[in-house]
Amino acid sequence: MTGSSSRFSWKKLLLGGGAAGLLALHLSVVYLLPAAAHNRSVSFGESDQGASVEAMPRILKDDSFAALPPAVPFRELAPPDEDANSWSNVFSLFGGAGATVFDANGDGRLDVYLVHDGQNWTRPTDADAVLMDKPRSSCNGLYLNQGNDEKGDPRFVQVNRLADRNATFQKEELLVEDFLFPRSGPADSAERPGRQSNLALAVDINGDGLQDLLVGNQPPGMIWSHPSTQAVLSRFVDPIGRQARHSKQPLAGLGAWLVPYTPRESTDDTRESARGAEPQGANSLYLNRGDQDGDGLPEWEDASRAAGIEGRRSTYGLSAADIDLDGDLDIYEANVHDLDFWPGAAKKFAGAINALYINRLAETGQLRFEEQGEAFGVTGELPDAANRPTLTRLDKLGPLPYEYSIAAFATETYKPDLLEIDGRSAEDAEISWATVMQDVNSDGFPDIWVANDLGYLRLYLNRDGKRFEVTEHARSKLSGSWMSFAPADYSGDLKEDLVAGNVGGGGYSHEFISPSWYDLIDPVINDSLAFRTLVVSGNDFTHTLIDGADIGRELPHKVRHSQVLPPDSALPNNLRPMNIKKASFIEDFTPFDVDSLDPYEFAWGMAPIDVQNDGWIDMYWLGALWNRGGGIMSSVGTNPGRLLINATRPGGEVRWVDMTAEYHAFNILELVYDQLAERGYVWRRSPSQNWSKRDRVYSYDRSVWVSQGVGIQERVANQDLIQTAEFGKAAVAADLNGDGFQDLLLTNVGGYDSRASNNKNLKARIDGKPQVLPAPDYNYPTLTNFEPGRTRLLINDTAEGAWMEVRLIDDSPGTWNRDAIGAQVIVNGHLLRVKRAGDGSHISNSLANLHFGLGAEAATTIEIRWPDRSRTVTTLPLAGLQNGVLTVRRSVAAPEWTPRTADAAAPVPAPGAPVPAPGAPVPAPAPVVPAPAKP
Amino acid sequence: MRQERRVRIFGWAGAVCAAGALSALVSCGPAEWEPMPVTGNQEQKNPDGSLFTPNTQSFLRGHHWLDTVTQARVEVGGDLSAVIRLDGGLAQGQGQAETFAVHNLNLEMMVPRLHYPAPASPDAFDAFNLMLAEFSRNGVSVPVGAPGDTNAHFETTLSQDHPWKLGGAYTFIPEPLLRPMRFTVVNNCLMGGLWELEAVDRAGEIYHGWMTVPAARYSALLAEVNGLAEDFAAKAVSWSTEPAKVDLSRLRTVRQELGEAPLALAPDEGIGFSSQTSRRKIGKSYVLMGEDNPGTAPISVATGGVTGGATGGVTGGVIPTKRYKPKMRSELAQGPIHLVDFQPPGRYSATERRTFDVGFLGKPERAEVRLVAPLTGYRAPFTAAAQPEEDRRYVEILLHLGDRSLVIGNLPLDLLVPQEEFVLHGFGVGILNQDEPAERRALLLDQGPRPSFAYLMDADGREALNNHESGLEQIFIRARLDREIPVWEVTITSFERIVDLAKYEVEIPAALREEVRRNASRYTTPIYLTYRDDNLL
Repeated sequence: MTGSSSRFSWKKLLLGGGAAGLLALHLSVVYLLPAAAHNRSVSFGESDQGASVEAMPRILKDDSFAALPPAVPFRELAPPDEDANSWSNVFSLFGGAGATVFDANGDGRLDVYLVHDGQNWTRPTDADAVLMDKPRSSCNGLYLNQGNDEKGDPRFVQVNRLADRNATFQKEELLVEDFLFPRSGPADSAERPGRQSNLALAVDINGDGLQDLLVGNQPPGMIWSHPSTQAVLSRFVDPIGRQARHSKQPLAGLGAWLVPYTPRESTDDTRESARGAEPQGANSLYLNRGDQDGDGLPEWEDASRAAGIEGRRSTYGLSAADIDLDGDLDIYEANVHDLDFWPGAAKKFAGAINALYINRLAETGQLRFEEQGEAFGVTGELPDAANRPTLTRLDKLGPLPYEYSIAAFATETYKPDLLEIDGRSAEDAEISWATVMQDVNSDGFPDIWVANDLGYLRLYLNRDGKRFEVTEHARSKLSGSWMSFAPADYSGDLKEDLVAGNVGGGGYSHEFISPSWYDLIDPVINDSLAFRTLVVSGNDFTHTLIDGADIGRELPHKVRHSQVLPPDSALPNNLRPMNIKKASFIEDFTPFDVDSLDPYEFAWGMAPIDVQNDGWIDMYWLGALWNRGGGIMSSVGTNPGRLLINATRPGGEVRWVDMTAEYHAFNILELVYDQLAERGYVWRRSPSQNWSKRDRVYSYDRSVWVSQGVGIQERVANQDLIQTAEFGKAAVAADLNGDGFQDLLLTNVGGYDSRASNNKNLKARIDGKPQVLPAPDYNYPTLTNFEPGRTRLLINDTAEGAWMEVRLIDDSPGTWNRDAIGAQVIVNGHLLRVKRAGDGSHISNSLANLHFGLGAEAATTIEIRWPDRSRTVTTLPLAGLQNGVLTVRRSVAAPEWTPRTADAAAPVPAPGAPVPAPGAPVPAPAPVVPAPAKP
Repeated sequence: MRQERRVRIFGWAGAVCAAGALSALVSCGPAEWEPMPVTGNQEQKNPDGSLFTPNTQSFLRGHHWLDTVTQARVEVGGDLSAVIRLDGGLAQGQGQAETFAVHNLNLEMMVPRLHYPAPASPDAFDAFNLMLAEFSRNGVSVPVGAPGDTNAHFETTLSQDHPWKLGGAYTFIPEPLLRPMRFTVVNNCLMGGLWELEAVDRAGEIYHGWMTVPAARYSALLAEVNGLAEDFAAKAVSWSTEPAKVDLSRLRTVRQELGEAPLALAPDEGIGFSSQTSRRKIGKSYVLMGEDNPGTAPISVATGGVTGGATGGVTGGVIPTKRYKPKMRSELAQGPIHLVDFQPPGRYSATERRTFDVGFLGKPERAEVRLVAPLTGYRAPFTAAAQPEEDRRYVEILLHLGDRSLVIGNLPLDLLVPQEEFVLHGFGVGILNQDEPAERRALLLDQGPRPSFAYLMDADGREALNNHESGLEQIFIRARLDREIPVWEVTITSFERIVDLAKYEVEIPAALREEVRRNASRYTTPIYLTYRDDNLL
């Protein structure tokens, strides 16, 4: 009995022990390992506080950087009028502040076309921050350059203030305001609906020598407006003393708390306009008809419908080139989805089809486009759902609970389904914020770059003008969130390189969302991309500099950071060290380099510029993710504006020096530079709302703007001043005052998020009294008075450095590409510039003479590679030219030189008849102007 | 027999244990205080009916359920962790009573604390320190939480996430059941036991109420926290203008005298503020200057005591005025300044001002700097041993200002950097923040540096003066390394934090400069200044 009992007990013991062991194993998997994994996810990158702490950036000082002359600061001019600012907000969060520089009236001076939200519903506030009782209407505005004032500063006056110079052609002069029903004259009320515009492309589309405007518009839409697309904010990770650890919270768009709004896919919706029924997102083509009444104002003709180029999607990128080299200019249109479908916080994806409009002008003599995107393979609809991002999520291990997947780190890649809202599906294409054409393989045919968000940087290689092929390049294997381009020859090797703008270094800072493992079971796209960025290494948020000599590689480069206000991610502590190994699975991929472009912030508008006229291309860019500084994901998404001065030595690797402070070029208002030279800092009065510190903020102030867990917060040092930046959008470099030095035109988006030192709480009249409105959701900062987005003119006062502008006129028979768009020009054998219509910069464009900084040199040779099938090259000797405009007419052997004299900066009389540009510019020939085909 | 005896012994032992356990249970169980009436909306009003306060008033103020609160019920556990339940009624248009309670509020943090071990025979210096702490505002704000959270938090049935419903384009209908973003309990600076309750949304206050802790409860709490006799504690926190003999040896030992250092006023600037609230105070003319100007409309001015009437101060005579807002900081030391008075139950007076002469601040002579070893601690019983081990170094700075002197001590050297200001929230020892997230306060007590101290003293530093009488309240210090000889920038802020009164530059002794530079290169903001986990980005 005893023996039997003993044997039975052993068996029971074994069984019991086995069961207990399995239970313990199961419990450890379910509870302990995921907790450990979770902790790993939230604290990776954490290191011991102590000897490794580095709270200041490294400043490269090696002699691979060329010596730079002392900076001559830019000088800001007030915007020409209040209309020049951006008065929109949530529905036009990504557009509504476009800028295009071109010579509208052919007077030799550069004019400015500012693009706004013509459907604006945003109500501004009065002096006490009380909401007005109606929205401030806004529309696009053409500001004509009236010449310089006595200080040498350009005077811009909006055409609606000039149109009553005489009674003729007023309607035609005002047409580019882009109202649905144009005004007959300036006396007509401007409080009328217009199109919701994002950007404009200046281009002589019909070869008449006059620069036309193609305006990219969008249908209504608001990010985060639908429950399935609301932002999903990760909560504070691993809080002390709290039960809740894994929860997430949705965040509706601010506008949803201000106006009743029902999201819907409205790409196919139409509305009435002077054109008849038109798609809500219809674009506008305005043909420049010259100044027939001689009042200095160009008259316009709406050729959108007749030319067949209206489109219907949300257009954010436009570029023009002679795709098929048939002698006329074609248009590529980069689109994004209806913004109700913003998929970042959704589990499914949405895109929009891009369009390629082939011009039939050369064949027919009629300005008429045919949409050929699909035939040419450039719509962004790619086989095998390649247009959708590659995502990663946790893979479920059979019937086992998900904890086993976490414990085993079992992941799978997948392509998301398409998003549907109310039964209407998103388009199965990409989210294209920008596009630029560049002949990357020197075959004479322009290729197309497309900047796609939540996806891939695409290069479509032009195959003989008949079709395009998606082509690999240095960044094609990694997804990203691409927004913008800045093509230029940065290395001085006579091959045009390409900077593409991304989320930037903030995506590697500790504020960037580090999703809980449980969020990765069925993740929203943002979380999956964060996971791919931070752990799996399949997504990359850094900007890129692609080598024009070999698009398969990125140009090696270094940046000497500012000692005044370096990017946050240049502070070693702020980086997640795991990401240093980014993309380690890709051979030869450059790891995160803290001394490069990698730490630099978010990019919207990007402007190549030669600040000192030394011939080396510098770069300015700005941007913000959702709002002005201090808002949602503040230290991830806020860019204070950056000016990198090119300090490359001839034949050496690219070197840049961040001299934003020295050039007074931060996109921060109220900034004071008076202590910079002596004490090395800049400062401003603090915003009086949404600011926890005292009355002044200095560039050396540090605190913590992240909320990602104790271990992370303890090591981070964010720079407060960055969080006073504006919501940057467009950036254009152009010589606005004709002094031979390129100036900067910057735009910003407005909002109830003022960073002004006199900002106030937003108020509404409730119970008959003005009362303070809190943020509708605690995740938003306190709402302030509406602060319009400031349009900023930064005048370049540099005086040293010779220069030359080159104007090309292709007047060869059968050519309608009169401005020689696509031409490459080389001066003195080492300075390359490319003529383009569509700079690639987010909602920013210019169409101006090619600018060559010559430094101490004089121009002695010029080589022009004309954009034709014959690949004609013209090489001309020049007689040691400096400081003037060289006009090269293809049909004329000798170019025309117009020196720019001191008179150029002399005051110009008050607005009146157009003043010829100094030095008798080349008169525009008068070719037969093809009338658009009648519908 | 032996077995019976064992049973009996066992039984007795069991009974004793049971009794002990019961006793322990009873003694450790929460003690419920008598309900305290709560009154809201006590602020004075402007002529237009708006409240006279520098705090932003959200449009929910006056529309929120909390306005129906009539009383608070407090339960205190043996560890001085309290639950404060607010009893309210029905909100407008609502049919159900709501509940709101603050949980896990550590009352130890809510009362004046010595921050050094109480001597066996406490004296006037100890009483003086408690008095300075009592008349400094001390608040703790808590986030929403859930049962099981160990941090201080509030739990409520108020469930609305958004402050309004939309009644059309830009038409906002207040939501009375909005869950506050934070809720603050404040031991205010006017009298012992007078506490404030404040709820905020993202913009500002949606509720402000007052309640008075029964005197006996308050004295008992004070005594327990500080290890003092109740009668001493009760008397100590009474308002006093008597100077007290300073005994810094209770707070630190001197490690090394670093000698005298040049002291000068910093370059003049426009008058500044230390916070958004201060900015509003300046904007609303809380600080004025100017001599009497007969013939203009009079206002009454309180001329004594920290608060006019409540603490023994005397409401002064009527002074006709046509005064002006100072523009530059240097003006403030050139004549009397007239600051809006702060009066019971904790509100700014729309009519009365206090006048201070801070001329001595404009007379910097020299500074003395020494390295010290603190004897202070945050955790009761406030011994140095109760503090975590640390290797940081501390300094003490003595400023000679004409007929006054100012000592600022137990300053952690590694936190005196250019990146941020080190803040002394009040004069005395370890004065706590007036509105500190509870999460951060808990971390401060566990991980913070030793409590610092500051005293306004007579010229030779023997007697400490009541800083409130002189119009001084806070001190901010940061290093400035952007000049040939680095300095510490010391900013003195006024009564009620209305305006920065003076800013000095103290040359950092040569022996410390390299260390200060090294600290600057490694500085990250301490977690007890940044931690906040209410899930708001």
